Amino acid sequence: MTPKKIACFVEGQTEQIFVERLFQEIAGYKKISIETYKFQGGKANRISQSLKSSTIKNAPFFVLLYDCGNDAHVVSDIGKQHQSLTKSGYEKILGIRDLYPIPLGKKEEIETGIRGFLKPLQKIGVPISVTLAVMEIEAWFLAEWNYFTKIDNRLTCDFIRQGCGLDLRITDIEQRAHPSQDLDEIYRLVSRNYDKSEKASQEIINALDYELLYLHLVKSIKQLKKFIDEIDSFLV
Amino acid sequence: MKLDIFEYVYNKGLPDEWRVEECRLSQTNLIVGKNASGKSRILGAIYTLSELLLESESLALQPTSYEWHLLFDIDTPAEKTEYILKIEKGLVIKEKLIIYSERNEPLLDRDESGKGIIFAKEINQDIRFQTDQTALAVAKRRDSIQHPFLENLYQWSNSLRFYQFGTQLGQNSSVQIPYRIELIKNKTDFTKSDFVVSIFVIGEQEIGDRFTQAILSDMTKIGYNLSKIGTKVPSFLINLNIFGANTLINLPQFLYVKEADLTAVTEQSEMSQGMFRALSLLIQINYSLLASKPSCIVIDDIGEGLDYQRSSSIIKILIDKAQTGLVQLIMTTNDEFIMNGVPIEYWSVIERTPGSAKLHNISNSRDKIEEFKFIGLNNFDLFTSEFLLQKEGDEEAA
Repeated sequence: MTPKKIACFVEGQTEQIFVERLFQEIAGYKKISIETYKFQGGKANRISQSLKSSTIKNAPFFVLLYDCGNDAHVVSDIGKQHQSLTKSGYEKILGIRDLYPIPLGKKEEIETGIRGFLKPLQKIGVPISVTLAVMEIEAWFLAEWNYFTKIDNRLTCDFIRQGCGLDLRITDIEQRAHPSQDLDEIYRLVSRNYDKSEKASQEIINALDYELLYLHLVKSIKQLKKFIDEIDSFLV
Repeated sequence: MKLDIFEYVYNKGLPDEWRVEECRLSQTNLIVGKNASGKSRILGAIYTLSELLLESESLALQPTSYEWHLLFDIDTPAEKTEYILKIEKGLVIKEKLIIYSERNEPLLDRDESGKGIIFAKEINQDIRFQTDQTALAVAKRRDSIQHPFLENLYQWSNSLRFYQFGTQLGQNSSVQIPYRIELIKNKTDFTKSDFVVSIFVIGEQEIGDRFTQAILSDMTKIGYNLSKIGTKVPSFLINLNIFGANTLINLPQFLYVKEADLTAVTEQSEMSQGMFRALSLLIQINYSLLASKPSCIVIDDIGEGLDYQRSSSIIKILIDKAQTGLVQLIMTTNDEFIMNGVPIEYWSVIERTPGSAKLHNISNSRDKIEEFKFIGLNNFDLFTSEFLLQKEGDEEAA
């Protein structure tokens, strides 16, 4: 059986690890094969590297996870690969990129720009959906604040509120200007730091409650809902 | 004849030994590899051999050695041909030609003394011969009555065309056009791009509109919207004002084109490098295809100096022409857009190891190519990811 194929373009390692786990959690680990590629450099010095693959024999779904290595490349790399992925029988292309450091007020402008860039492609090939994580994907981790106590049992909501002045239970995390810095400040309360390293990202992604993300947090985080809806509609 | 299998060794046994491991070629081939991986050297080895096969004179004395092992038309039992040649320091050490439809034993076999045997058709037996140690017997012994089997190899080399796209391709050349076309034809080396103006003049006169229209049509397809092409005396010569009107006729001429959206013509010296390269290549290839079918078109560095749209277009034209004309096409490139324009079934990726180059292509890496096609990334990423060069277990190591 030929699997259904979807490609997801992400801007960096944290997104790549998160999206891989999200697909597996939603689809079920035995139903999805994932191939991950990491790309760096420009035309003259481009390096592409096949990272670990999670190949499941006869899985009905296939995900190409494409780490662009830079948020500025997500949309242009989708443009470069669109024709080839269309020819190869993909059903959908997803992209996910940060807004940071562009101010929240520019969100509409950025979205209009992306739509304009993708419009000619949408007419001739596989559909594309780009999600703007506001302001960073770490905002979604902040929203799932239960996981902090799995990292360190002192990191309760009250402790964080007292230490950072941030009450995660009532904060609209899509309004936070620099969520990865928020994470770092929270970690510093227990003498740790968040540096976006693979180890730090992996620790969070292992601790997140995906059921909570999937069933409840989508109600309050518009961009997470948009992204998960796209995955859901592919996995039917 | 189609070159199917190629193997080459330079300076065997010496510190600078370099070899191309036995590789299978297709009808259309795009050889890709990193800088200094041996792309141009592989084409050079094919071209050098084709030159040697035409050379009935003595080889130049050189302190180097070469070995070629070629197989042609291996899928056509009636035409399968094998040729082996070893040269050391300007002397032919070994030369062997087998045409399997004739017999399984060599039709020509000679050693380093220059002595050997060759099959004589009319008397239907092998005869002994001795030839100059510095000459190739397949070239020296050509005789269409006694040894007609040598002709195919000669024709293959005589009609092979080699173009180095990253060079001038004749942009500095011009030609004096005589009244009789034969005079210019006798002086023209159709294998050399420096004769591109002569080739155009000959094509225009011998083939006519079909030739010029093919060039204009191809140039339009790659984004140069031309309405006319011809030859003229360069303006800079006319402007020197030292020639009388009557003497202009004897002055050398070069190419000009009329671009549809310009009022004046664009002379050869004014053309951009990319435009002239494309024009020169298309003049030579169209002439070659229309005048007499070439055996093999070899192009080094195709796409060099062209922009995205033109790279993408010229590669489509070349593949179409080669496939329509049943001509073997062997190209190298470093150009992303050329790579993306050539189906990966036609690719050969060079694996470079110290002293050797190995080609990975559809004949020895079909599963990997199918796997990459399934993943669906741009062809260029087949190159950047070194996907074909990965061994089992590499992914885990990464």
